[in-house]
Amino acid sequence: MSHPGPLLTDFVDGTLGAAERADVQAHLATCATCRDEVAVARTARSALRALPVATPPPGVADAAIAEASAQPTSIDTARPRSDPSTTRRWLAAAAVAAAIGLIAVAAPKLGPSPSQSMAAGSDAAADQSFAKAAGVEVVDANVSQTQLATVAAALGGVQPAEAAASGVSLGETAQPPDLQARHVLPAELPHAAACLDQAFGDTPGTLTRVLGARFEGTPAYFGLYAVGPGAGLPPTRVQLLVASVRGCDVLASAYASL
Amino acid sequence: MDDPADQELIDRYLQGDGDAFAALVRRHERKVYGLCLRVLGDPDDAADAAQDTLVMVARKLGSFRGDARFSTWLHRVATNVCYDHLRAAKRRPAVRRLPDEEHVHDLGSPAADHADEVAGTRDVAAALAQVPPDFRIAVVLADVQDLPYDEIARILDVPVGTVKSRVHRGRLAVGRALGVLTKEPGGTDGTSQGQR
Repeated sequence: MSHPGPLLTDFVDGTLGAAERADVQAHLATCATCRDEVAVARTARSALRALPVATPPPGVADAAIAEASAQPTSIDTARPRSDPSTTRRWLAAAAVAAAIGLIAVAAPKLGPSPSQSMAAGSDAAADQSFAKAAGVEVVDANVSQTQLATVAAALGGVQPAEAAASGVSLGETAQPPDLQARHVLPAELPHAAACLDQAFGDTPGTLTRVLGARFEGTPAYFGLYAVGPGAGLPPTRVQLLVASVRGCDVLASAYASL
Repeated sequence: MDDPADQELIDRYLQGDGDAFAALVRRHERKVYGLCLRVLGDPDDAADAAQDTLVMVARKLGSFRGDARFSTWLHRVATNVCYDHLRAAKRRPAVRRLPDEEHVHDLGSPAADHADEVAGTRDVAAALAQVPPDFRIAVVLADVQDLPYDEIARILDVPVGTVKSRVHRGRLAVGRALGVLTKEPGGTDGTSQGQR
């Protein structure tokens, strides 16, 4: 017989029937090339199959989970991805954000860490008016740096109606995204909280909400912390910390006075 | 068989249950990462490719109609992502490091605590890196992912005979890179890469 071709693969696997196996063996008895190939392939096959199962790094699926929940499924495809009324509420919230003098801090590694500056205010009193987060709210939004302050304000519970009355004009760049949660994932909360802790070290106050969304295109956790002055007093401000889902790196932060 | 459960999770996800998708990808992330690691060789590249794969799955799952097994479809997505990463790596300056101590540490599963196993892992990973991509992917699907040839044929969209040929050539390249001596290292397959 000529060189067995693909039959050699089956021969090495040990999956040939008796007749074909006998044919291949007869060929091997006369063909040194194929004999050598069988020996080499067997060695490689054994070595490859002995490889340990590789363990993925933590968080390798997090971006996908955030992404999946932001996708319209077959059921909600009919729903508009951006609800105009929500957009309007956000415009109003942004007005309040501007009115109350929100400060967004970009690239916190360049200056004093906002978490450090807020750490002194960390107190159980924050629980008085802010419930602890119940899950990661997955949002189909890509938040830009210029939107961050308005996001912090809205998550902090600023009333849209009052904001609208303030009549503050807004620049185009501050227009915030639709932050309507597509899904809430309770099971992801511990990982998200740990990720924010890892990124920022001492996270301040009480973690009241966590959003899974994109920041400047990067899948990220947005953690909202209610921070009080201590001594049993209610929180006076909220701080929004943003960490990348992958790698838990610091991306940005912002805070709003209540 | 895990497919009924896969399909059930997919159905639940498509009905709006985000936790079902999380369960689905948590179940398969190890498999995807394993494929990416053995094909790309570098743990960081593999993590990126695995993440890209799972994000792609998230985006495309709505169009998955169940005409293939989910794991077949998942492997097809992962394989295409790996090809993309290999092409991108080819365009970058060649700075890829050989498997080092950190790499070896990453490769080990919690159960793989024998030093000789880890050393073998390093050799095999280095050998795989020398195999041409088409053969490397085929042999990884067959001998690392332990998939049957007909499923690999569906993943790669090539005939089963082509799969067997690629697997054989991949094994020869790995074996020769591992330093197995052969009397006629050339053969007709053009994959002889005996140097290490």
